[in-house]
This record gives sequence, structure tokens and C-alpha cells, in this order.
Amino acid sequence: MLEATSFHPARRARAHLRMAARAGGHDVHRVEEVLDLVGLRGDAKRKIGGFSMGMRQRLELATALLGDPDVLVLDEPSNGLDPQGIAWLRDFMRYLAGEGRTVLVSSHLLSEMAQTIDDAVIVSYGQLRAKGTLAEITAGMTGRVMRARTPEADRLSGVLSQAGVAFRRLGPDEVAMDGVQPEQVGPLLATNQIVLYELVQEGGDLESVFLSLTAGLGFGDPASTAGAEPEPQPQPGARA
Amino acid sequence: MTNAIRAELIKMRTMPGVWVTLCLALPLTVLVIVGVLVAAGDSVPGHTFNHVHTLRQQRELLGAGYFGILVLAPIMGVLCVTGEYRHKTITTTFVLVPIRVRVLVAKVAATALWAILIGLVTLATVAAVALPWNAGLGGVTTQVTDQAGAVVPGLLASAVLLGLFGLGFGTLVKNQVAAILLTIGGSLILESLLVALARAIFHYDLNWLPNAAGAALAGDIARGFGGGGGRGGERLLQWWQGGLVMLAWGLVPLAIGYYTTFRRDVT
Repeated sequence: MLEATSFHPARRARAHLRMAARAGGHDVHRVEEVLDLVGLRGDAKRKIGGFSMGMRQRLELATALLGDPDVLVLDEPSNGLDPQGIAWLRDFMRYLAGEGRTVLVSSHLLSEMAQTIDDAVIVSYGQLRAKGTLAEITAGMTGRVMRARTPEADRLSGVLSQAGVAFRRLGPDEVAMDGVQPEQVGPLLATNQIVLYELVQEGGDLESVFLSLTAGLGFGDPASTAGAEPEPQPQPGARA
Repeated sequence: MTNAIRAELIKMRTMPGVWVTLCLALPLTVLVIVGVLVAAGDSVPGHTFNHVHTLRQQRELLGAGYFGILVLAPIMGVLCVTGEYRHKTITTTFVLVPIRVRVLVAKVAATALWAILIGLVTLATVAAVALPWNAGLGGVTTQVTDQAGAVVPGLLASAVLLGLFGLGFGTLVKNQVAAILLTIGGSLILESLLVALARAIFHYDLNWLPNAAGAALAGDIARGFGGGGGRGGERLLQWWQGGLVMLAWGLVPLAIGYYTTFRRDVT
């Protein structure tokens, strides 16, 4: 499925689907079926130029479904959707998966995806960072990462290095510490009288996992990993 | 291939610009009909209009749509391809039909059919306006319709090749406005200037440019309005030579456009 801007604005929804069915060599009778599937039957005679983003996404989905595919590849399908549209899309993807289809979704809206997906693959800079079921990927993360925001990030980095704590610089005033608990970090900070604005134990949600796995790979300060231990390469087997 | 052509035909008939272009064939044809009947009236003192009486006038009246075809068929070709880039539908097109040469061939077929439709609209306009008007002025309708064999094939063939000409430049340029200016402005304005310069400086009949080649293919009907005669009676190519030259004017930019633009990645 392509982005929802690839439409001629003057073309009507049904005409677009008929055209796509012809071009793809599909049965044109599928047009009415997919219009029903995505709930656009009542708008089939309307020009696409008057469609909302959500309706365009539905039409794009209908186009992808014309060939009754076993595998659907959706690229950022929830981009620009309102909350109702996102909820609809979530239910629809579950419905398609329930029919026995494989739905592959690429998205940066990780918290949204976490509500929908069964399995996740995290890719960053062309490298596979993690794969497995959502539970497998997030299981080992809960309580593993502490994020500190401080005006003394450089001094904190030195203290952590001395204490042998693995850390990563997320930004000029942010440091992520791996494999530690608040009970270990708190006393260390107090002893060294480091001013803190924020100390957060990152949860085991998909977004945190993603940020943890991709930190220091080009986001923020390029020298962010200086002084840190090599980043662990998580494997689903190790996490599960 | 049939599916790709049918998809292109659906695209064409769902673009408002295509219908506007088709509808413009009517007033442009009427304009030329008026011109032909006024020209026929020149020989009769005191009459603004007169019925056609020479063979050339009869053919010009029947082929009064040529000027409209000359202007509109290239636009039809341009719209067929540049609309895809303008509205970013080209990505969908290439996803649905990954073999790009197949897309291009389908566009050639769709453009040809719509160009023929322009030709048929002009002929219908002639039947609805020119023939009754000519008869009302005292002309004999069968004298005009008897020229159908000499006029209609050339008219429709030039429509197809002029459409191909527009499609070729549309594929090459991609930008809709630029492609229309290039094809219409180039053939109607720039060509006239070049022809005049070639005649004045080199005493050479520059008769292989698109307008003149199309006029040669269309035969006598084109001489009075935009064709050879309008520019001082230069020697036109033979009709078949004109056809081949027009074919080249369509195929060469189409081939260059295919290799330089159409085969490129789209996002």
C-alpha cells in the first residue's frame, strides 16, 4: 500500500478502483467487495479530492485488497489519521490478520503499533536490532534502562565510567544507563552531588525498546557513546 | 496488455482536462467552418458567406476540424502522461503494471483512441453545422460528403500521430504546462518563425517540422489553416512522407523520454 496522496483528485473512488482492478488484472467485481470492506460504499461516487486523509487511507487499503492478497505490506498507514481513523485502522488490521493474512506494517508510531501487532522487527540503519513477538522483545527491558536528565551530564558520564556502569549519552543533558536499578543509581548520584532534573526508569514498552536499541546510532550527539561500554546487541532469544 | 489499455482509458475518461480538450474541438471546428464559408464568399460580391464550390473548398469544409486536431490532439497526448506526474499517480501505475514499456504502449493506444474521438467530434460538428449551413447557402451536400474518402483517413491519421507527438513530448518533459507550451507553442509559433527564416535566408522549404508534416498527411484540408498554404504556399511533403515524419516526431521523443524519464525510480 502506498501513501494516500497517489490519487487523481477529480477521479471518483469507484473509478479509481476500477482502474486499479483493470491495471492489476483483477476481477472488477472485487471493486464493490473492497468498497464494502473498507466502508466506502456510500462514498464511491464522490471525487477523491474531497476525501479526508482517513478516507484516502481506506481507499488505498481497498486498492491493495483488490487482488485478495495473502500478504499486505503497509507503509506508515496511520500517518495523518485522526484518532477515530487510527482506531479503525487498528481494528481493520486485526480483522485482516484474523482472516489468515499476514499484515506487515512499517511505522514510527511505536506506541500505536504496540496495541496492534503480534510480532515486531526493529531495524535501524539497515541492521536488524531485534525480532520476535512483542512480549519477547519487551520482556527483558522492564527496569533495565534508567534515563537521567542533568546539567552535569559530562560529570555524570565520568562517575558512571568509574563505577563501571554502562551508559549512553542521549543528548547534551541526557544519559541512559543500562542494566541498573534506581537503588544503585540514586546513592551514586547523591554521593557525587550531581544535580538532577529527572531520573526515569524506562518501561518495557516498544518505544522504549526501540529508543534503547537505536540510541547512539546517529540520533543526537554523534559522540554520545564515548566512554561507554559497547552497546549490547539484543537477541530475542536472550530476551525471551 | 488489454487490461493496461483499459486502465489507461478509464484514467483518461476520468480526467476533466481530457473532456475540456475534447469539447474545445467543437468551437474550433465551428470557427474554421465560418472561415471556409467566408472564404467561399470572397468570390461573390456583396456576400459575406457563400457555399463551397471548388474541390478544395469542399474538402476544407469537410476537414474543418483539422485546426482543432492540430491544437488539441497533442494536448490530449500530453495530458495522458503528465497528469500522472502532476498528481503523483505514476507510482500507483508502475506498482500495478511493473513493466513500464507496457504502460507506455497502453498510453499510446489510449491517446490514439482519444485523438480519433477528437477527429470524430470535429466530423460530427461539420455534419451538424457545416453541411446544413452550406446547403442553406445553396450548396450541394453530396458534393461535400463525396470527399469523405479523400479527407477522413488523413484527418484521423493526423489526429493519431499528433496525439503521439504530444505523448512523446509529455513523456520527455513531464511538466504539464511546459509540455503543452512546447508542443503547441512549438508547432504553431516557433515553427512558423523557423519556416519563415529558412525561406528568407536559405530559400529552403522547412517542410519536415511537425505542423507542416501533419499538414502534408492531412492533405488539402490543412492548407488553409495552419498548414502549408497559410505560410505562403511552401511545398509540402507527400502525404505518406508527412505521415512518416509525424511518426518520427512522436516516436523519437517517446523513446528518449522512456529511457531518460519513464524508466527512472519514482517515489
